[in-house]
Amino acid sequence: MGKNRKPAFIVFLLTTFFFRWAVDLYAQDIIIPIEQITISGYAKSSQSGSFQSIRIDSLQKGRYAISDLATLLKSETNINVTQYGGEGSLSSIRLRGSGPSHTQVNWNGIPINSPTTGSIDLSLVSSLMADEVELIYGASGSLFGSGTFGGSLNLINKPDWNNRLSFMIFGEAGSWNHYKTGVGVRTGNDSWQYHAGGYLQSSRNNYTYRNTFMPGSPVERRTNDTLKTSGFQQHLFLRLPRSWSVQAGMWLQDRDKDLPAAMSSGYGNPANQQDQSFRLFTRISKIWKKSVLEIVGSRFADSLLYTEYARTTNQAFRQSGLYSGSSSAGLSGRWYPSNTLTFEAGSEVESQKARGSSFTGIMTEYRGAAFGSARYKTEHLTFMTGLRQVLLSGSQTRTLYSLSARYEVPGINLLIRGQASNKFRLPTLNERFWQPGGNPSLLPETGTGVESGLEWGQKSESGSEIQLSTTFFFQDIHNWVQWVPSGTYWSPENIRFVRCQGFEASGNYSGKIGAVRATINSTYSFTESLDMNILSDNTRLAGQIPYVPRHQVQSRFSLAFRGFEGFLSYRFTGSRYTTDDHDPWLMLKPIHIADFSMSHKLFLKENEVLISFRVNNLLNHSYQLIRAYPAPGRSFLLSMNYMFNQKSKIYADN
Amino acid sequence: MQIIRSIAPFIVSAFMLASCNPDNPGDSDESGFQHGAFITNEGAFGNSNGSVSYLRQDSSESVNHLFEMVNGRPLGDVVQSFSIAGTKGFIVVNNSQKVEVVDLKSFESIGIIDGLEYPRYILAVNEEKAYLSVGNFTGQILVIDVATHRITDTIPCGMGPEHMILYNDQVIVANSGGWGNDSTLTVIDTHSDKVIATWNTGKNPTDMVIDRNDNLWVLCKGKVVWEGWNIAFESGSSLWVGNPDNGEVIREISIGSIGDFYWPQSIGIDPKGKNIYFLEAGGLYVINYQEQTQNPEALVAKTFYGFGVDPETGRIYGLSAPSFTAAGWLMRYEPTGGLIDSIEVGIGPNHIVFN
Repeated sequence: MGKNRKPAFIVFLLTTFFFRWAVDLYAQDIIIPIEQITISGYAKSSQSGSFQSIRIDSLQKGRYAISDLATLLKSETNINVTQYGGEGSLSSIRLRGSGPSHTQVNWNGIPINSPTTGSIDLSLVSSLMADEVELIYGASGSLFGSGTFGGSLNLINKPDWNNRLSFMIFGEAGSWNHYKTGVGVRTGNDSWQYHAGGYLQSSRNNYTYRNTFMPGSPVERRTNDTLKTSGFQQHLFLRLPRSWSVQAGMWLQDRDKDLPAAMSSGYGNPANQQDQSFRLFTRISKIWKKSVLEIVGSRFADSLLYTEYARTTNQAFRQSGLYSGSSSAGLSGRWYPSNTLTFEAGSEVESQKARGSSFTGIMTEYRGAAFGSARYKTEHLTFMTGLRQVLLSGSQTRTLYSLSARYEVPGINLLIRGQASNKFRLPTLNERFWQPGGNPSLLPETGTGVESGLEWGQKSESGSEIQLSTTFFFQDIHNWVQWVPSGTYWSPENIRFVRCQGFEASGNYSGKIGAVRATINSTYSFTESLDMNILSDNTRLAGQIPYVPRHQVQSRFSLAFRGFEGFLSYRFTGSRYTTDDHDPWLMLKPIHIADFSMSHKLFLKENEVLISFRVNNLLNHSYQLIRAYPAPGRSFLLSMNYMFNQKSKIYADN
Repeated sequence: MQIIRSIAPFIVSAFMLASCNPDNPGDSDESGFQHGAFITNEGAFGNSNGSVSYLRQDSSESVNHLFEMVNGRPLGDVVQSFSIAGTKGFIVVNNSQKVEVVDLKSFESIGIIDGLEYPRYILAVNEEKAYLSVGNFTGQILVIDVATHRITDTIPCGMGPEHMILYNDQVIVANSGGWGNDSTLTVIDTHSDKVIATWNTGKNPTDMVIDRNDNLWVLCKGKVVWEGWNIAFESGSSLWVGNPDNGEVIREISIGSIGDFYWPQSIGIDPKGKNIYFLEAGGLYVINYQEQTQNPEALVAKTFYGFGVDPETGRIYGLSAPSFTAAGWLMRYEPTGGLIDSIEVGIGPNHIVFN
């Protein structure tokens, strides 16, 4: 290692070990520290197949400089996100009619879904933790692994080797005592780059809402919804001699969240949940003339402490803790025998462990996989196929495959793409070992999906641009796990057979009228997620599963002029069932949400200041994403982002 | 949905007219919902989708979401039980910490008793007074003025009071242990509203009936030791038979088994007071009031979430909750166990009251 890289490396190590120690200290009363390792290959990106994907760029991220993923995705995409109320509440993604555990969330290629639930609380993931956010619809199991019926959400960190020193200070204040502040620094040279950032956030979330459970639907104020959260992340990128390179990242997060009751339970006992996350990974690469070798290792740890207090005495009377961790390691190689061909092969192993009051001891599961893929790419045609063999504890095996192709029709800017793949999701530790009720003999959920799409774009000499796209998808999911009553406790069973089908369409226009740039973006999605189980009279139910709207629309319009930008967005989410029997009395009404923002960017030599004013839920629409948990009404946010050295890339840079 | 809500009163009226029985003047539309079976569907915990279903015993169609249909708003989270005091119905909504009071004829809401801590069951002591059991640890019996819906007094009792039974001038309370453990019955004098005795029973008594010999049958769900949300230990359940005048034990019959993770909650008796029914692992069981041991064979080998016995016909109304994400079923059986019919009700049906 060159002498000039030492300080960054030492800083990275010292801070990493300090925070690791802090997590252990916090968790020692309720948990046992657990090892964890993870590995992944290059294949986990939108470039690896012919999937429909969304990339949230820096301009979009800039509107939500330091925001949780739930807020970011709800505001900037047309995907179905459910949330138990206000900011910081449990949030899940339900992509293409699938369930919360059917979207794999990757941090630099490594899954961070909880080993115990299989899903991830999007409100626990800050946009500060990644430079780019990418959503891949219907990602294949052969390339991505377990739990991709909906798709894959990828958080990516990357260096800017031209950067020398960048610095960012962010502050935000808003309705309901919402305060947020963060700092970020990036420094380095051509051979090393070090990124670090942290944030603090608090909010009382004491918004008002209409309580439709009370006579006359009175306006009430939310209580016991306070959020306090903080996070820190750092990354080190090294270019070493002889074409070796290293990327190492660390992520630490702490959240203290009061849990409000449903609006029908206003007098319930107050509860609180504390979450801590520690994530660390290292990727080492060696590049030869026509090949690449990559070694990845990771260690993740999460702890959760739930406490319920007696309403009358405010004394804690019920507490449960859960600690989960995973460790993974992987080795992969890529070979480029020609300009058109790429082959990849690799293997990965992972251990998942959990301990808590719901388990009898430390629950452990080991998984392994060997995978390979081949890609043929010419100027207009890309063809890719993948194969993965999965090994589970208990000698179970699964074989996964995928085929995908894309063709750019010469001369007319038309792209045709399609893919077919099978997928699976392994049962989680909760599903297998929860006491009582865990079902160790659960089968993996399996399914096969196909999709095809068209994309067309046109750029004019005047700078205007138009893009249109549409995608049709079809997917069956068998053995969908559902918890059902079994005597006086619940137990997971492979019950559901669900058919997900639909289409997505989008149109974008960007053009200039004098010095004003106008951008219009609209998306529409139609999703059928049908429970195909056979009823006792030998017919199929074929009804929409809960919390999946058939129709979703989002339209966004912005005008930019000399550093000023005005932005208006509208989202429509159709009515949703909340029960499997499609009881119309228990449906959630359609949602209409409009957001508005204005911003101005000042340039001061090499620095810049971005001042933004934002109104969320402009029309103060009363709605619920989860039944009986009211979402916030109209809110106001004022933020300032001060960035030094604008020539370098930095968080929220736009 | 708006259409359904707007025509809901007409649906209710049409149902009441269609159900009119010319042979029984009491069953006219003018009697409203005063006669029939009320099923409380607790709904899925935290989902606020509990409801009340109504069924006339001579009908095979129920009115579901009765409260919301009449009052235009949902009932709440975990609808625990329903009781009748005079011309009023009292719906205990456990996780909404309230009792909704309705006029029994129209089912219109006429009051709310709220701010309650873990309310469970109501027993009408007389036309003026009712008792409400509350508390998941140290419990209380709240005395409710039926006319004003106000709490007029508080009576201490054991842990986790559940069902109550009226016997002469005393109310016997089953202290089920709640989220802890208890093995007692609290006896309250209904004139003074004071505790006059505490009797020991089997582990965690939860429900009671009195047979034709005036013996008190107490369903004891067994001892459960919790660690946080989880079970560290459980013991078997039993039927405790005693003298309701002095609490002396007559016999104790072991039912269920340790490790079955089943804690029976419901007991019932036929109109003649001879056959006692109860739920245990494996189904619905019956025991004659003179028998000394449990018949190991279930009368109905089906898992029910609750049940009731029609006090006129002796038919058994089993309540099935196959999942808490869809409607449950009311399944009617002859006293001998033969299935009569099945009727869809709400989510998680747990309790039934006949009037």
